[in-house]
Amino acid sequence: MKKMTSKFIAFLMLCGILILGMVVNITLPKQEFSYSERRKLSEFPQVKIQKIANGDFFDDLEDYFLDHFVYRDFFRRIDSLIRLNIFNQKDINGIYSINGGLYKIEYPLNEESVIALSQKIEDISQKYLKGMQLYYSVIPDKSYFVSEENGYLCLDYQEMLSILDENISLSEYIDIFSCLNVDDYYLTDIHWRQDKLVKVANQIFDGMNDSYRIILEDYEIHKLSPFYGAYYGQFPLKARPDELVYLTNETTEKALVYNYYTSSYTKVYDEEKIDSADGYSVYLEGPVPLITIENPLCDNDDELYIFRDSFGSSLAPLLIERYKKIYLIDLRYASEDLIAENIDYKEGQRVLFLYSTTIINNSSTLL
Amino acid sequence: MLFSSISFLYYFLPVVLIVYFITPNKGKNFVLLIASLIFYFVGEPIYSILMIASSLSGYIHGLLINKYQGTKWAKIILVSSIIFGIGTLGFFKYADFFVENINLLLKTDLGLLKLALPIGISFYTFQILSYTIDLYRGKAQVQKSFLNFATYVSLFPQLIAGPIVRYTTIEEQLSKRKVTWENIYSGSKRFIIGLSKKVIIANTLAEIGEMFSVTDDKTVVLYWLFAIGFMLQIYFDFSGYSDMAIGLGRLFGFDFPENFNYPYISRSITEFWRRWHISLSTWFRDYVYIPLGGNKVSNWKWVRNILIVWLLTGFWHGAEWNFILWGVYFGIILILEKLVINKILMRLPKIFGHIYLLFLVLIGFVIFNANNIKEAFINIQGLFGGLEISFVNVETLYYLKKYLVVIAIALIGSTPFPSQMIKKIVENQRVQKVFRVVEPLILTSLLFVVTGCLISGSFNPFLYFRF
Repeated sequence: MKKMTSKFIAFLMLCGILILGMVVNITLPKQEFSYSERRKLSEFPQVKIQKIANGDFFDDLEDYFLDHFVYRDFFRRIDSLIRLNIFNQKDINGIYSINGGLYKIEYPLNEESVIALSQKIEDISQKYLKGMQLYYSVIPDKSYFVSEENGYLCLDYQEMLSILDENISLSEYIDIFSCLNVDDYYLTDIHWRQDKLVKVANQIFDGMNDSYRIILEDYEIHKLSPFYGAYYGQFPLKARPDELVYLTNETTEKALVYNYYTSSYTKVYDEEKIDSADGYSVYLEGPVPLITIENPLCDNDDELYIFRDSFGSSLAPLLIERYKKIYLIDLRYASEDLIAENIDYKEGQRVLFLYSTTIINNSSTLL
Repeated sequence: MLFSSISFLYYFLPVVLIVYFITPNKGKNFVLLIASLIFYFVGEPIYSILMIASSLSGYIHGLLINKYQGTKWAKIILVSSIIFGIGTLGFFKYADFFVENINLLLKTDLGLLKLALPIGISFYTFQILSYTIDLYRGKAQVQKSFLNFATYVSLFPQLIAGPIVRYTTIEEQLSKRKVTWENIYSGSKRFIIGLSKKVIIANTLAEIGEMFSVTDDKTVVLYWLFAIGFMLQIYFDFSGYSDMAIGLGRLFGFDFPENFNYPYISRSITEFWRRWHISLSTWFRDYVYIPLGGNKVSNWKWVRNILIVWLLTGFWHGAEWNFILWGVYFGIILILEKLVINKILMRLPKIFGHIYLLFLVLIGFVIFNANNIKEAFINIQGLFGGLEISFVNVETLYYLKKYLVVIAIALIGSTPFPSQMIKKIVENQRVQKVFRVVEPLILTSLLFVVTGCLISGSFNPFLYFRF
């Protein structure tokens, strides 16, 4: 009898979990957005005859149930714990953790992508940038500093730089690898910290044969938290969110920022964006095809054109100290031809192609 | 709908269990039928009609066979039921295979039908045929209730992925079955273990295949990792699904036959096929091999019978030449074992038999897993360094380390060792008392882990449900 009682109780327990799960999932209010995953969660699918007939409705329904499962992040953590501790895996979907920092495996080197980007730089240079001073630089992803010594797959960075060197003849290379280290990046995000970029800005000035220099002490440091970086939600185990740092001075406060996409003026830093899906958008509106910063306090007419990815957003507010105007061009959102219709490339001015190794390895993202 | 989905686990199953257990016995088959139709409809809305039509065909054929039993008409009706069943299966599953090959051979340009394969058609067709054939043979009683017959055909625990449950197996249980707490508990336990095998082990092993397909710089070791990974994946995937089916069946009072019996501990292909997908191999044995004469014929006819059965077995798995090759591959080995190899194996230490079996099965699954014959041969060449690739590289080592533990767990789990060990431990009375409390906690934990894996992972359907 005792055996039966225990089996009865055991079955009730198992069944109870399923029923309780169903009831809780149905009754709990649904979230629209997942901040830890930085994405909009699925909506309940529309009930349409065609969608039911072809099975799409039920597929979407399953996605909806998955997205809105109660304590979703807790259950994702269970999966991660099993992978890391039982299966002894070193990464979860390509993301790994070292000393509280989160990193992504970027592998293997896509030589075709590197060559394609090189050709794009050469084409743009020949077509639009004649008579200008051309430079390019590469931002290492933070895995560069930790992956090899910790046994993770990583890009062949030397080979990438060699390919770029072989294929880019019109622009001069500025090395910034040597002035960066892993602590210059956020723990939970792909990007670098603005307060660590003074040395990078100075290295770029130096590479452009410019004696101009900036110092950190000329800036006021501000912090916004919590900053949930891009990797925070991809690695379900509890990571500490970052504090997003931004630097202000009289120049950044008086700077005029014009967003060509929205045809409106905006600020260098938009603090409210810290609560958005992409907290890094605090810097210069985040991903936009064309944005300019003008420095009314500048006593020269020098301009800088930066063909960039998202890393450029936090560097430009430091570089503007030196220039009258900086154009930030993101070819992921607009083609070079479209950009050329909106701005004039002035002879004699400087151009910087500034891309991260991640973008270089996936240059098909550029239009 | 898949067993390993949130829709099934946390919505469909709880509702079905509640409704089933509160319904009086008379209404239980009706509940199961409706639940099964809903289950199938969710996965295959349009083809639900086909399944109902197939059930109706089997039912009507059965009534007619019974009515004309003992006359020539019974045989004609039986043949009609076989033509209908095999014809429907052939049309939906093999039409484009034949069209492609006709175009290739005769240089014609016939258009492909591009029909989607109805889920589970290979399983329920064979189940319906088992009914009409056994009825004709006098081994089964006619089922006069369409409700009961349709319940048998559409029963959701085994509808889309087996085991192939013959009508005679559950004939009595359709009208008379008792649900005991022992069965409910053991059914739940079996279901959760099967679910864990599928979601925790098989789905993780599936990542090896995904990784292999996107890796440009393959090595010999990577090919072996891929082959071993798939061999284990398909076992845990398929046996896991069979466990779930058997467990669910038990919950509802049905005793489904075992479909796997630790096939990887076999020492010959002959033994392997007595332990792997047992319901299919016994189906072909009883409904094709034995009617052809089995081994009670001349040697040449016996060879013919084996090759026919294994050609059909391979073809049943998929409408591609690599599946046919896979089937014929095993057919030839079985013939050679009967004639020569088994005698040699019996004289050698057991370890040789194990190595021999695992090697042949691994090659077999490399053929099975390929998209076509060319790819199968490329993959086999890759295993033996015939592709001008390096033996190993940094990337291969990384993935070897990443999946080594799950492979080791799967290897051990594919033997009877863990269950034998547990049985031995709980022989002790005191341990048994503790185990009565610990076991449900372990099962609950597994349910949580499976939920975590499902939420975390991407869609990964069971390999066999397109058969």
